[in-house]
Amino acid sequence: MQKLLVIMLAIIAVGGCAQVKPWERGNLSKDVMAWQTDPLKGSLDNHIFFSKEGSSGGGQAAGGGCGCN
Amino acid sequence: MAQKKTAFAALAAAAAMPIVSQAEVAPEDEVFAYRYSQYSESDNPRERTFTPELKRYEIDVHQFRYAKPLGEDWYINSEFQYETLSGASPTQTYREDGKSVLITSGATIDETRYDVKVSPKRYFSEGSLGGTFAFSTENDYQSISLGTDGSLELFNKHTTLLAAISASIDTLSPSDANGSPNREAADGRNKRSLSLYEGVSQIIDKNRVIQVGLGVTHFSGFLSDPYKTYDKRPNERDQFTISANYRHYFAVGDGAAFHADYRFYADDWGILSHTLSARWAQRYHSNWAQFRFIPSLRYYRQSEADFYTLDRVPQGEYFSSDARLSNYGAITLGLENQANWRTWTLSFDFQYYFADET
Repeated sequence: MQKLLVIMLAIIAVGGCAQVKPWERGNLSKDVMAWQTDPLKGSLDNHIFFSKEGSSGGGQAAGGGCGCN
Repeated sequence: MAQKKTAFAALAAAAAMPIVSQAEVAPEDEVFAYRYSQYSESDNPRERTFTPELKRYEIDVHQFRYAKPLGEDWYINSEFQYETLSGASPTQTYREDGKSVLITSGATIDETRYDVKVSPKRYFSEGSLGGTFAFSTENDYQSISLGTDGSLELFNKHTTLLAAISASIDTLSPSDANGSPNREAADGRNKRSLSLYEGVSQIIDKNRVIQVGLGVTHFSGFLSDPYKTYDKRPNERDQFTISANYRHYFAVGDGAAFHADYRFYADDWGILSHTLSARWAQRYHSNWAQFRFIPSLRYYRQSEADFYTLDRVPQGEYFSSDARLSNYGAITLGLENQANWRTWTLSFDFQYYFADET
């Protein structure tokens, strides 16, 4: 798993970061590029994974906790 | 190892499409969305379940979202969720003669949980500053959290720095506490958390963007599970995460993107985990509507906590047989379908969660 991440980061690093003018950012602002595809789905997925798994976090916002037994 | 399957499906409708990504610009649309989800777990295996009840959870979830701009620079987002849950919870798992045995609570759980979240955000020319207030309540658990998050855009908006801090305080009030020493001990106790997140997102070129982040969370208070027969956990827990999210645009159909998300997690209870998700988001349009399809695959693997045990009568300072603290892996397969017509969005999605459990 870590190997994949290292390879991914290496590809990006080698490619470098290009200057992207504001009018060239059309593709980046398309909805398919969003960090989260749907806010309500995101909230519920986090809630479900939190209730089933021993690890959590990594996102910016924390939601309401649950007893989740 | 047994395979355990969980299914969740959702049907949702929303008015207006907020399309915001890779730029800190105040959204201009007023959004109202409703989402209904159904969640069900496969039954516990008969051959190793000691109690008559085999059913685990059935959950119905209703979610509402309302978001609107306030003036030119503010945007307020609010979410309300309520869920009804019924089923049985495992009270103990132990290993005897090489076989693990499961004891459940019987069909004693039947409850409703309410969750509300309000997040106002102020947008500036080079960033944003937001706040979040969240409150949830169910018959045996209450949670309040407060948070703030900010972003700062640098280098002609190629780089965005992100930071967030949040704190929560939860209160336990286990049902039927009288007569159960564990539940009595938990009654009225608190669980507190403090979380910090630092991240950076970077535009790589006109088709690619990446975000990496570090997170730490400190928990303190009553962290044991009052419903388990034998469960005693430390009163503190420190969690650490590294996460990376990657988006890559492809000119396929009416536009598509590859999403890759990774999270590394470690805590001082001895749990290490890796989460890797991959998605393909595909846009199509016909004469009268637009469509979006997003198949996804999520891989999850964690190691067990130092004090996880399947001893029938556990000894030592700390012990728990909670499956969530065990050596555990899961694969989630999902598909989101969305149709947009004028200002309306209708979506349907489902996910299957396959887990191996001891």
